[in-house]
Amino acid sequence: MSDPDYNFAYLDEQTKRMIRRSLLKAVAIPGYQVPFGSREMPMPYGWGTGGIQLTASLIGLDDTLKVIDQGSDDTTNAVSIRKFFRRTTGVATTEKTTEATLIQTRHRIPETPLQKGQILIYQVPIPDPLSFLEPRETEARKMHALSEYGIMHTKLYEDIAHYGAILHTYDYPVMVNDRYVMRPSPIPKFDNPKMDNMHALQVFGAGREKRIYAVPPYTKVKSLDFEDHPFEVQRWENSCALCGADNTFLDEIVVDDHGERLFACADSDYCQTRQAEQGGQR
Amino acid sequence: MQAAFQDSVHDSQQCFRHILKAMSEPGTKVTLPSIDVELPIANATLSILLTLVDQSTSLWLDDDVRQRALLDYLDFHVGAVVTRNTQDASFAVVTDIGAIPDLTLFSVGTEEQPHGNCTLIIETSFQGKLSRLTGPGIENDVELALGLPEPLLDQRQALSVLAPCGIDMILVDGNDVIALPRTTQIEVY
Amino acid sequence: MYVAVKGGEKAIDEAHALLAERRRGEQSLAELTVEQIEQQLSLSVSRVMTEGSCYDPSLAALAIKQAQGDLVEAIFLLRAYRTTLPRLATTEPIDTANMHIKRRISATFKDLPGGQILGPTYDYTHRLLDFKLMVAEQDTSDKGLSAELEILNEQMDSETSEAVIPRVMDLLNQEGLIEKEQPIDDIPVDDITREAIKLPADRDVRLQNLARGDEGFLLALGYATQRGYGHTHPFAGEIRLGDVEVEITPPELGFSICIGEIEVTECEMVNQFKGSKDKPPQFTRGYGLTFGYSERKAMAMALVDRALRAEELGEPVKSAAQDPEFVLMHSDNVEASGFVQHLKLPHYVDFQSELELIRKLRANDSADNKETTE
Ligand SMILES: [Zn+2]
Repeated sequence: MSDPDYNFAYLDEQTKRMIRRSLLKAVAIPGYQVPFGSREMPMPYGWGTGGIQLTASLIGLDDTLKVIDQGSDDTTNAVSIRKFFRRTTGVATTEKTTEATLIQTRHRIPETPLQKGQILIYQVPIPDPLSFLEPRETEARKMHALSEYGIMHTKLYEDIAHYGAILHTYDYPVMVNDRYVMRPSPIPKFDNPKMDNMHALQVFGAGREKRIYAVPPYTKVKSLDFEDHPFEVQRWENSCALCGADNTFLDEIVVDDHGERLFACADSDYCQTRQAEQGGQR
Repeated sequence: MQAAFQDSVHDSQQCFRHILKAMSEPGTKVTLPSIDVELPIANATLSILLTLVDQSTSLWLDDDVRQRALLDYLDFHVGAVVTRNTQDASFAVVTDIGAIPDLTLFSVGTEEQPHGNCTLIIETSFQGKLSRLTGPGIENDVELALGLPEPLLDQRQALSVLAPCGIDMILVDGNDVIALPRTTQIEVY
Repeated sequence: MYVAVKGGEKAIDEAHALLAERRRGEQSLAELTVEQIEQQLSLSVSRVMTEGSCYDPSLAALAIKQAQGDLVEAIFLLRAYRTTLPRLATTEPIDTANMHIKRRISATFKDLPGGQILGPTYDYTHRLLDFKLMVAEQDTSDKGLSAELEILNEQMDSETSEAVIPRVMDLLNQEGLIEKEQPIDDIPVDDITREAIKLPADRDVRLQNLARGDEGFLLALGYATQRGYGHTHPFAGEIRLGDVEVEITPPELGFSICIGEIEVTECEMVNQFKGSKDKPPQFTRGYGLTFGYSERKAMAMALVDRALRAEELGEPVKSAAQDPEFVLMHSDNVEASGFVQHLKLPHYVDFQSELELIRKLRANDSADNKETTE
């Protein structure tokens, strides 16, 4: 049961309609940032108000919601957002990637490949990939309109010229459907390849900056690179200390005062599922 | 006044998710729940209007349906601002596909604000020649009958040079819906 | 006959009487006590102590009461009081590594020695007005803490305040990937409450200025850096809240003695740095410290501290937050509030001069026009 003192999913119906219309435009123009009338939410800006507003406009009684932060379901902010939706919708929640219809995320894409029909909702702090090169929105908008991304390529190439590599390790810019350069939100670039031709719908919400954008399923998403410097993801020498995975994004955990560390999957559901499978086999 | 959604919160949420699925997976046919009313527009058209349109959007209706009963109903349940000017419309309903105005009469958005376009809701029957659809949201390709006349498809094709500006279409046949966002390429056999 | 305006003194007296009446509010309601403010508006008290540069919770509470809750006014009151205090001694630097921890979080590592300790935080509350608080609890005399809370407090006490929890920066630095904070023992620390700031200012002066600086101003500048106006790629390495001992070394003793404890909030930001001619690529730092519990301020301060190091680190100085002169000269809200509001004061003479100038310019204009048309 949802809390009768509040609207279903907190937002009023008119706000949901406005967000829904924006979301349809975002899907129709992949990678383009649609401005929307972001509302004040009972969490501060920076806590995922954009993603929360999208989830509130999408969620229905048949849904099963998963919320992750840094890949994990038990990080405090993920717990808090999950609790918020449980209270305001009464909708079922899960930690299992495979069971979820809606997955709200901050900073990660789950390791388990997503399926057709699922929706991945990203919390976005800063939506415009050009903002660090051109903080003035009026200018950046013109560049997007003309597909004029020279400054972005120059910046990336300068990195290569000076440091031998592109220095973005997260929030690594991508080209969507050969048209718009887009920020994938601060996911590690390790996750970038998962965005390309993903089976699930990807939607992005930036509350403070009041922008929504989207990538439909089966859409080309290419991380920016150069012929002589192709895009590469980070690899670890270690594998997960808990489940043994050698192809996942690993968290580095300091275990004692001497700086001793171990590595474990950031995606807690993926790791636990693997551990359970291994336990079952033994 | 005839009724609208039984449960406006949850019915409109359901409809929206179907429309979103149609729009993000072009060529996928979705079926909207039916509403028990007697009006000169298709059931799914009405559901789409109830779900997406309100006093902050302008709505264009073709002559066939611009009748008192429907206008009163929309005024009461939707609160839409009905316009006679195609350029002003954020949503347009075409029930007589033979009399559809030239697509260039509707707004396609601007280079800096391509989302300022009109979304056309077109009633047709999903029969006739097969079309092959490709583009974002479609794994490889999909073949199906859209029931759109060739001149309309040609006009739509002509708009593609304006990308990312363009027109998004939601096709309606009874309770069924297929969406064609501007990014979908159509080849007719 | 015209009579010149007089009676300023009487007008002022009456204004003060009206102010006192307004401060007191409805007479039938109980008057706020300083103790209530200190206990129940403690975050206001923290801010007033920090920006007032004076650690005294009850005086800060008094200032808040006197200022009707206007914190900038209260900061001004405390600063003005501080001016009157003699300087008896200079303390040793406080050691935040030896803090009795009440809260300690790091955004850079999921888990680490000492653990993530949320402590009392609004971070994960839902901002829903709690209408239960509309009505004060009638009888609080025999109501202690809830049993649950009591256990929690005991746990916190035994787990944290006894143990020394290492600072995240020290843990991380085993690989040497983070720049070292080098103490410069032979150069005395400047005191901006005693001497005017000299530009260019070193980091000791900048940090003092930022610690006293307006929270809103630093928040806006720190925010601007996040939005691209002087970006510094920040991570919240560690934020800790707790009590630290304050020590002095009396010359006659030759060793340090503890004179009390103060509560402080500390924030260490780590920032990506690509390296320069004489520095290898590494993480650099920004530092924030406040009295009491002032997390927003400490974080904003750390962002601005790092941004202000742009020149030192060989980064292009393009934005307000990287410009020491701009930041240091405009951060102090007592200064800013005064100068902005001084526009209320009479400017008859200046205005009169301007009036004369404008009239003269217009007269010249029309004379010129006449000439050309003739
Ligand atoms: Zn694992």
